[in-house]
Amino acid sequence: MGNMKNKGLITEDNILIDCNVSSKEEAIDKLAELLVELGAVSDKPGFLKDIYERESRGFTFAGDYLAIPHGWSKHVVRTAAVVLKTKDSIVWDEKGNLVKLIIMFVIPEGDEMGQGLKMIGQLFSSLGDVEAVKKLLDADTKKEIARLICNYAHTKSKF
Amino acid sequence: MKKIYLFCDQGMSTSMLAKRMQDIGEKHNLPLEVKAHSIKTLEKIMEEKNPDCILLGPQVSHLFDDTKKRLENYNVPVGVIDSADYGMMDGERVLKKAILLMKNHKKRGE
Repeated sequence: MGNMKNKGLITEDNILIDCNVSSKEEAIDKLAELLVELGAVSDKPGFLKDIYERESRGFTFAGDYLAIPHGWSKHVVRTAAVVLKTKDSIVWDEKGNLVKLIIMFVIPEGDEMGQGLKMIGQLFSSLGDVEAVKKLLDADTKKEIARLICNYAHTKSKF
Repeated sequence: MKKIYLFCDQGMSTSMLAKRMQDIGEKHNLPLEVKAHSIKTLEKIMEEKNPDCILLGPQVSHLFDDTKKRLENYNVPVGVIDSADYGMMDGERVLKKAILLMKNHKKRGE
């Protein structure tokens, strides 16, 4: 947790851009791989099982080419968020919704009140603004994406 | 100030929709507070914030009966967000339905 506070919610290390993926499964696999590399996930197959359990309940397409797969899992070591931008849009769900930007966040089981979660909540609240999502879709460097996301995660809520 | 609170597993995915509803409310000068929370915190939020309307995300619609039971002792309407509205992140439609839900609830109480 302390680590995240110092480095911010998302650094360039948490971001993949220009990803040559052709399916949702490929994209989720790449993100899971990254989470393992970052030390946020301990067991990739177990973690993927939990992510797909949540996916089976639907509604992780968030409009405007954005998807937000997520889940609590005992295979998550610390709260983290990772980002993947695809080279070409991919089909996300059975409705045929297209996605270019994927933001995945993961939370250790039993840590639903953590500080990191607050920041992720604020990030998603900011992403309710269509313009905010557009800016992320237009950003083409890791640095710019990280900067935007950190800004969104630290925007003070009105209430 | 009417408090419309959205609940899902973590209150993350619904927070995007909450923001859209809040923005629509502001555009029409409606005194609203729309927020998203984790369903796990339901009782705590009820005690602390005393919301006027509870909406569940469609991804937790299976918790509707359970949620109604948990809210038995509170005089508050509970609804499930329409999955088509949710899929489109249509803040305006969800807000309209929430306002209707509160109106009907009030009528029944009279």
